Amino acid sequence: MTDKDQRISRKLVTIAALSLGAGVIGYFGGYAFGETSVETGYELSMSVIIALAVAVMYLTTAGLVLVGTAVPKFGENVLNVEDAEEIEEMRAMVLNSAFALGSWGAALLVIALAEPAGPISPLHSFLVSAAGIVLGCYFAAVSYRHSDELMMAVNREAAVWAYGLVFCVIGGWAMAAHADLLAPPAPLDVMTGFYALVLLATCIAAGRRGMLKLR
Amino acid sequence: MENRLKYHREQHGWSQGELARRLGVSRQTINAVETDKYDPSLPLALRMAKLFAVSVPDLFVDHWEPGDDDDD
Repeated sequence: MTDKDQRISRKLVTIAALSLGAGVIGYFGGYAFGETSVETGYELSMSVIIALAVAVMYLTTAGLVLVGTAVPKFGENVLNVEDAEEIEEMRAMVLNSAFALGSWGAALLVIALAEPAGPISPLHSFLVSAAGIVLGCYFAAVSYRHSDELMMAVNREAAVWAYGLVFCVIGGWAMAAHADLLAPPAPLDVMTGFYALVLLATCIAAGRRGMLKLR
Repeated sequence: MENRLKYHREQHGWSQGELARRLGVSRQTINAVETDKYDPSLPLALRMAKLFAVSVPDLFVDHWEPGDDDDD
């Protein structure tokens, strides 16, 4: 087994262990929140549950990247890099990208937990969420400025894919709802759709450039 | 587009990281170019050619010939 194979195997084991841990915490966290909801009377609809799951995905990714960047020796085992030095080389871009993901994830979490689904008043939820989105856009812009041409190309391609996916999925859903074939999307579904489809678009764009292959 | 970046890099005994540092790009960019997943911009292609003291067509091979796109 070559050094590279060993590194990739170690990375796979670490990622699998972390995913398992996150899954267990998520399961019990969700269960506890569900129990609390029954006691407090919060109305957890499927839209809210899916929005929370997507928000947690953003927050978990942001947290992992932040810790990986802060401790490059750990980061080289969980991020798609060759070694700790590569994290140092991309620090500014990666850090700001993680801040953006975190801000956006928090924004979705807060808007999903607006009353009656959660304890936050709708106005406060909206204001905090809007601030999170604006802050996320700021960090994303800073990250973009620190990107090299490949990352910029991937960003642009992801934006094109995201537009197409949003048009097809959200637009298609709206069309079907208008024709009385489906129930119309709830406003939160539209929001979650943007988040999930942007993530999918980014994976497609990165995958086409071979950037999802473990290194 | 086919390219000989890896060949020239190895001729100089440089790692992908070393080449990336010299060109001011990320290692991922070098990796993506070498594996034909990404065609670099013209400025970067020119910088690569200058660094290896070769011409751009020596580094990036395009098999297109004039007349290839003609219908008849």
